[in-house]
Amino acid sequence: MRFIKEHKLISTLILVIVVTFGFLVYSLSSTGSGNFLTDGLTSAGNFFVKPVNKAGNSVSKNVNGAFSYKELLKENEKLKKENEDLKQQVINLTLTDNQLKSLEDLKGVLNYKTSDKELNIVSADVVSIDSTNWMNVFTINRGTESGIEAGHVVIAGEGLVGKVTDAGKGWAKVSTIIDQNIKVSFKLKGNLDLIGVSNDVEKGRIQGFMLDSSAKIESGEQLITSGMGEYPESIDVGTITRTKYDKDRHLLTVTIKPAVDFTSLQKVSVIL
Amino acid sequence: MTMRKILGLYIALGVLELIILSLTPNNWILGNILLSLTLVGTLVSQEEEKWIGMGVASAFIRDLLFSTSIGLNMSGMVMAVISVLLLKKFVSSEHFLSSVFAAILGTLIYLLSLWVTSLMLGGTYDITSPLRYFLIQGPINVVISLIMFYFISKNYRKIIKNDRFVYRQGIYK
Repeated sequence: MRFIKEHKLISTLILVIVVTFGFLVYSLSSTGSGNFLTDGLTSAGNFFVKPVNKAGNSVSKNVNGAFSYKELLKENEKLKKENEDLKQQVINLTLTDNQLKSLEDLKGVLNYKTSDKELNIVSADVVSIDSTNWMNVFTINRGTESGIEAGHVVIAGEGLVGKVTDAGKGWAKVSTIIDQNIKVSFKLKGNLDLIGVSNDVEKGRIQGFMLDSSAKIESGEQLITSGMGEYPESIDVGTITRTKYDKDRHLLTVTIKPAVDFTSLQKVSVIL
Repeated sequence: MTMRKILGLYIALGVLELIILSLTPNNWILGNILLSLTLVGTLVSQEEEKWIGMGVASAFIRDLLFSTSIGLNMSGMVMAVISVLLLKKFVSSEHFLSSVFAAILGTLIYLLSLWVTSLMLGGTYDITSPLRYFLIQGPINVVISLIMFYFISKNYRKIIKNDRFVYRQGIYK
């Protein structure tokens, strides 16, 4: 006790180093998942963070709305055009739907059993994001009470957001696909045989390569999840913005603009 | 500065940081207010243990709320304050330029420690991530640190001045 009183600085340093080292060993052994103590503390922390974040988001939304009148007009025009295109697509899909019904009838006749299962989806709000370091992780306001667990896939609209890395009561942490740690296997929407894997992220764009380096692909082509690995098949990953053949590594590399706008992400859905 | 004042300062600036985080888009690079506060507090004050304790506690809360692993930000904070304690041996903590050095050195060490720890925990980030972040976040942290230095050093200068006055009166005889 006397040593601690006389050497406060050294004692504090030893204490913080030991505590930090202890937490690191704990994190290493539990591969990131929390226990009842850290889960409880995180829940308590989120209880205070939620209202602050909610207030900040509503201020941001109102301020942005006031200054983006011209952008809204442009967006309106774009949506009108998109609506026309979608109407045309509905006509085309009605024809495909008739073919699908014929196939369903045929399945019934042949007594064919499929392994299709209904997906349960839970909606959640983004509570907090830390932009003070490069790790793209955010917290949502739903957790284990809604059945969310580590490893569950997170989407927004039709696009892939990432996966749950940790969850507790009332919160879950999500690592996004624009985090360098997260790898996604994708394929071309137009040609399902062409598969690729993401391996890097730069300025919010995903970098990846195609398994078949002689594949003929162009900018503007859409990518969906391949179903290999942790993500279910056919979720939008993004659009190719650039392709380049890397002579040194003999790889066809692609730059992908994610389908989800991560700069304004506020609501997500978790696939259980 | 009393512990109560330091705690109040951390809570107020922590809430401010949360508000800034919620107002800005996801992939903006922001300054780390609580890191800058800890670096300047450790540099200027003669009671470094109070600032180190609060800084590591704030890093623990950041880990709980945002990080994938507990200990990531804590290890960064510990290494950053150790670097400032070493810097203190070579520069005058009363000069404002020392806060610039502390912010640059502390931010770099913090980000590199974060990177090394994330690699230890199975991350696959390359060295360009912390360096790219340092180039943008470093100058922001320098500005924040200069502001902090102005207010915190003013407080401590007052205490030192008073102490010198008391000494001249012969009370310490």
